[in-house]
Amino acid sequence: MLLGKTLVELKELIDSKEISPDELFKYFMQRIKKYNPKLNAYLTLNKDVDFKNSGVLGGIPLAIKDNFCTYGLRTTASSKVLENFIPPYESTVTARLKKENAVFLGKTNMDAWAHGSSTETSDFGATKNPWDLTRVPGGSSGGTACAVSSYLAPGGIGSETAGSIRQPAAWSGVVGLKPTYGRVSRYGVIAMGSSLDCPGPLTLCVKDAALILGVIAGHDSMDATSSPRSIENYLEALKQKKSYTIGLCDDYFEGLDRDVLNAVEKSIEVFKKLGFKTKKVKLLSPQYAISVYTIIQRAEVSSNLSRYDGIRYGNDRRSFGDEAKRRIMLGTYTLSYGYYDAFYKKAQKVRTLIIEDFKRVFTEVDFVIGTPTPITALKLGEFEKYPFFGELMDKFNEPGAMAGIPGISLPVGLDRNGLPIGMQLMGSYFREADILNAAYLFEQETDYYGVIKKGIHNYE
Amino acid sequence: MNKYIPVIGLEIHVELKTKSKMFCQCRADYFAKKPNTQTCPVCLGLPGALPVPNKKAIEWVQKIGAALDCKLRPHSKFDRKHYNYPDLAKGYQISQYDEPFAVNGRVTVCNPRNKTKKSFGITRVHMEEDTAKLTHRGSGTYVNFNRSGVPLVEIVTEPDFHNADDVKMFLEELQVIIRYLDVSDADMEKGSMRMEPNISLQKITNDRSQITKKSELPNYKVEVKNINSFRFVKQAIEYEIKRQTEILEKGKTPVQETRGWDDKKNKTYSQRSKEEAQDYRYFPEPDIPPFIFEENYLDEVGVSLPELPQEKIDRYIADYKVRESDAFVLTRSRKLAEYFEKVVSISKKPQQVANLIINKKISIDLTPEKFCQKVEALLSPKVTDRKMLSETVKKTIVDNPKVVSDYKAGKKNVLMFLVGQVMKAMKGRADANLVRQQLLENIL
Amino acid sequence: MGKKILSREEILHLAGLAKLHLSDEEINKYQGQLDETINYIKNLEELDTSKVVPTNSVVDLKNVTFEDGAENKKGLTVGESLSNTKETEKNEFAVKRIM
Repeated sequence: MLLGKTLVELKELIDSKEISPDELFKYFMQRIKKYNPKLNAYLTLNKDVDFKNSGVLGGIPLAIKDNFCTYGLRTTASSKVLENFIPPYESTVTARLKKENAVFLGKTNMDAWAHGSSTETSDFGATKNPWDLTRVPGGSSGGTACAVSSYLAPGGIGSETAGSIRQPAAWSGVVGLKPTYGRVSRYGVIAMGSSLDCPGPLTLCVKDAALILGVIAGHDSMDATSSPRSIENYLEALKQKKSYTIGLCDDYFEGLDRDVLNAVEKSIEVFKKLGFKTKKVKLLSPQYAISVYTIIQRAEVSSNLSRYDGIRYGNDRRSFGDEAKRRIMLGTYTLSYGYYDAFYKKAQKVRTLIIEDFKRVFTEVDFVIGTPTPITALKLGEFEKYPFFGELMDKFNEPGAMAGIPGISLPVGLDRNGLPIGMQLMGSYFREADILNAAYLFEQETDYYGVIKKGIHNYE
Repeated sequence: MNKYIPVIGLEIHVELKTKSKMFCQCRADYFAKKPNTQTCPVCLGLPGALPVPNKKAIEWVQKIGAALDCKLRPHSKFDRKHYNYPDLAKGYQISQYDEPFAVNGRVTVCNPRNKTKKSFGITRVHMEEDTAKLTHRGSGTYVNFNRSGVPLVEIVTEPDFHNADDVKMFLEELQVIIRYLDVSDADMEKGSMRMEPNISLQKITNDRSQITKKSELPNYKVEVKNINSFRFVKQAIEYEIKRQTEILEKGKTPVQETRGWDDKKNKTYSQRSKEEAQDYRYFPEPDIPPFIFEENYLDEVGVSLPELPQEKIDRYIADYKVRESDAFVLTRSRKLAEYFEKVVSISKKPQQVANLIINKKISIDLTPEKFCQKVEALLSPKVTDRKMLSETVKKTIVDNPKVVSDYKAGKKNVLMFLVGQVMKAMKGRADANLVRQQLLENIL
Repeated sequence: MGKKILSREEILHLAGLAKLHLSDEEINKYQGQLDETINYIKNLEELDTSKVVPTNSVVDLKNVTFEDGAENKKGLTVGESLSNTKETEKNEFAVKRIM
């Protein structure tokens, strides 16, 4: 039985020749054919695949978010503007995965240009939450989260600007890791907020996240913002049994749904049982990070989307959807003459305060605990009612995103409606190994209360 | 009598001759290459592509800054400048806004004709990228991205110019300096040097010093683009001075706008008025970390500069006692100046060597050593054929009885005529002193 | 309803800068929504940042460059360059005449 096997387990099966990469690929393709029509996780399926057993990921099939340029494989960022765009080049992340002989099942749906937290802004229809088809999977990496949660892929790649990996991981009930900004190359990732964007894995377990991070992380000479710092052996790091101090900040427990709050509190007890210490900390209220994030991200969006003129590729600017236009308009406003100092420059100053704030707290504690999202998955259509709602929903991810620090979201239970709840640990710069280590200890202790397994078994 | 003083500032763009483009590894020598053969995701502005700056280009822009006597900033960064045009791949140009690599420079230019020196302020020198090349044919415009992303340096001057001649003189000097640095061809025809003067007219009042005060500059400015020769710059400025004077004479103010230069009709024409002026929405380029330079490094940039033309002129005059006008000519190219210096270091006759080079008496294609040999042959005291001289002197005296008698009557200066006649007959192959001596002996 | 922060003219000016063609309906909608957002983000005024240096880059990096003449591993063929465009002529991208 292959159902629910993790990347590490599948790799063992391939290595021991119990299954061949093409059989594995076909297995997932069949599942995709069966379930994708109602889930809409994938936009484009891959046909041109080269199977090789060698390499860290030899023969492992993965789902790739549709904002990673893949040579010869349509890449749309879920926007009509790029509906026929076939990249003549490969993103660094997908190139590194291919180099280890991973195979791509296809490109997954997302909010158009990654603008959103539900996949509903996709020009190719929303992805459904595998736990409840009347709900959204979260976003913007909702397609990958859905595919992994319903086992239409054993693992996948998403990207975050502020919450776009962790929030869909929470709502779809999988593991989502957002690395430090600069740890994973952005080259070939269709830019959203250039000073924030960060690729990362969505997986069924922490080991898989460590495995993928080990492949995609590391310096890239094509991305001037990628860190030259050498990468750690993330899989080895899981073998340690370290004791950490977890920071508790009141602001990060404010406005949480009671089931979410209970689940996070229960997680804190688990960590205490594992020998972790806790400490109260004070951080700048996330309400400022929402503003900083809104200003900087919109400014960068308005700039990054200005290349789409329909001349060299894609359709022209009339093809932009509502959300993209709204963001371009605000970004254009905050950068325009006479407003720059009041908005953009002010935001960059407050960003400094946010960074200093985290740096100070991380001298006291190893992690700050919380949730990537105050509530569980919303019904389709809820987001549209409030244009600014997504930013409020992502308020616990925005401070960390502005600072560029890493974080992980783990499933920690189900709410009263049977929907997954996410808990997150945020750590200091380049502390991915410690974050993964702590998450792994938690996983060993709880097995996520069976959440991930239950999700998959909904799609036997 | 003119009632107005022209106030002119310049923006000059210079393409660097680096091997690679500014933000990608594509080749930068786009001239005469097949369209779109030198592109990559970065310079084509494909989704997801990211810029990485070319180290040498930054070293070179700092070199230019230092050569123009600028202060090199210890902190610098790139910014995005937004506008929409088909030649701009990303919808923004990576440029520099408030932290250019070099600021506050000065260039002193000597005018060899009237032996005056003038000095002009440099506001800033910054680094940016060139755009794609547009060609207009029939009903279409065609875009070639080979030029997209080629390193481009922008030099901005203070509005220190008051006539077209000074502008031309300055630009010629700037071109020479840039070529000395060996960082650009600075070839206007090929487009590797481009200039955009901005011109306005200031009414003359009693206090002439006021034109130097920025706050009292005219309240409009006309920028002229598309000029590809020094001659056209001069013509465009002169045309604008005339055009704006006529408008001001009617009691109106010229429109602030960008105008183009039509070199067939010899006039400027309106391209874009201020109403449509762009709001470039500058912000720091998030894809490129900042630049921070150590003081030692920046000092070294200045120290490692070659000797510049103006310094050479001063040295030639002071050390070689060469005429200023000759020093100017000799320093117009670094190659020529260095050749001159090599020859002088061997022959030790600077002014004569200067004359021989400038008058093209000896080819500078020769090695400096060969050149010196020829110099020696031309300048060394003449070996005189004594017998031939004696005969020639006698014949000259016989042929010019009137002159000889004039001399004897006391008109001493006619001797020079006789010397000249002898020299002519000897075809110059005689020592003039000896000729003089022989003539005197034979006359008496 | 109070006075809007952004006038209709300003919305049109911004749309012009961003090269977006907005319908009347969109203009009205964005006018309201931008107001809402701008009112929210003004909360930054509560923080004293008079002595704070702005952060342009969260990565602790500086002077990142490549060596001139380095091998071009990402160069595209003419075919690849032009592969996603609708209009080409003689290996150039074609647009309606602009001058």
